[in-house]
Amino acid sequence: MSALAVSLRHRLERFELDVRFEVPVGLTVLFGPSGAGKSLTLALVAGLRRADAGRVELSGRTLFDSERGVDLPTRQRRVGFVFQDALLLPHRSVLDNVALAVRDERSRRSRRARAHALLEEVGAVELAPARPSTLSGGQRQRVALARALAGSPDLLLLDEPLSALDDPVRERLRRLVREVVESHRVPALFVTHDRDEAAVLADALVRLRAGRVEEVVERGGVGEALARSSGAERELAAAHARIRELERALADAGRATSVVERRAHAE
Amino acid sequence: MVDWSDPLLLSLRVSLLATALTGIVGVGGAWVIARTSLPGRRVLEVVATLPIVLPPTVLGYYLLVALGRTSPIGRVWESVFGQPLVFTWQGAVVAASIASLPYCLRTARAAISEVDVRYEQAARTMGLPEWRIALQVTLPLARRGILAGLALAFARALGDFGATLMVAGNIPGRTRTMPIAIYDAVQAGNDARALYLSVVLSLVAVSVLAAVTLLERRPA
Repeated sequence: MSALAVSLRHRLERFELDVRFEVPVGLTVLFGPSGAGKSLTLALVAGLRRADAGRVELSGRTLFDSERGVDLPTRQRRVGFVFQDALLLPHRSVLDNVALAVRDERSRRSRRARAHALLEEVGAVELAPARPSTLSGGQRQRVALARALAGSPDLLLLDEPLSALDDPVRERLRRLVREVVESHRVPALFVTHDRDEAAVLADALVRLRAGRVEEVVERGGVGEALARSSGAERELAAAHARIRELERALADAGRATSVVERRAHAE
Repeated sequence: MVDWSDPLLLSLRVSLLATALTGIVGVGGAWVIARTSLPGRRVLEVVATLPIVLPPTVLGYYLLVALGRTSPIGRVWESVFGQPLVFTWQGAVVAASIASLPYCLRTARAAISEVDVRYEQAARTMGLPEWRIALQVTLPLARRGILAGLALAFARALGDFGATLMVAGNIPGRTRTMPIAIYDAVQAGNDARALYLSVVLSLVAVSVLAAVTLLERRPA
């Protein structure tokens, strides 16, 4: 049984997306190299951008249908969204960020109680009064996850939520994502270009390349599919990992340089 | 015995009300220009900027024509409030509001344009309707620019001379605001009074400038 059915076409200046796939209950990884159209697909499903043509159906509801002129605004789509850089509202507390997203609770008090329970669930309850700017990357994504769940969504969309995190933190958060998807019984579409991440998380896998669906793998076949991926892709994944290392080294070097420069100035 | 405080209190009342009025119109207009695709919003911005480039007396003349007793606005005002709008302190409020509108609108528009639209997108995924996103996300994130714009508008309203004089006249105790009182004092050869009023007005203006500078320099 599929929870989400997507059939979308969208043209950008130098890119054309034309995808058709279904997402079953559970966690589906939208996998592919950078520039394959993964994030664009999520934005179109969430209604953050308007597709040129196609249909999106979620649990029997039509969210978008260009032929019938249906285009529900994002807030009516009941999708939770976790952005790569969290995008917590910087002027509100962690608790407010989650409480503002709570649906189906009338009083302010019950909204805050629900937000509190969600923060507890993602292991971030002690951060409730904090401002987002004081949080680490991992903490931000925990809060973003709680916020995405606060609307009791019919679908969870996660756009490379862990790709900016260090390895140990990323491992813990992968487990957390799996746990909440199971305990909330919410279908999830998780975007990543990281093969390990895809292998660990995916119940099903949709492989995207250059704006097209290359392959859809159902439950059970994911590991095998990832293993037989082309040499070029393996190289690309390795290159991504290398880039992350270099970026980190560069950042460290930058810090070291500025210390040296400051010393030089002092002398 | 002359009541020294009268022009100052009148000026403060007129410019605070003018700032409130220009704040509602200016921030609302700034949001429309920055965040909607309303046709004609660029024209709106240009028209709202005119008070900066028009000579104050010319602006005042147009306002006098637009708000006068025989104009549509003037007639409606008079039938509702029982007195004309021109040559009253309420007329001075309107003149100061129009004169200060561009400072508020342009500063607020720039501040709103700088707010990362992705926060608004995040708010959409949180299920917030557009009016709540404007009030609870966009405007709070642009608040420093908006406050700076309101401070500039207040300073401009406080100092308005030409437009106020044309629309509201120079009626002691009713429409004689600080800048007009200073002119009056100089004309009457009362240098002490002119100096006193000028120093008071300067202190208020410098305080506003200090507030704007702090708002613009303090990190988020």
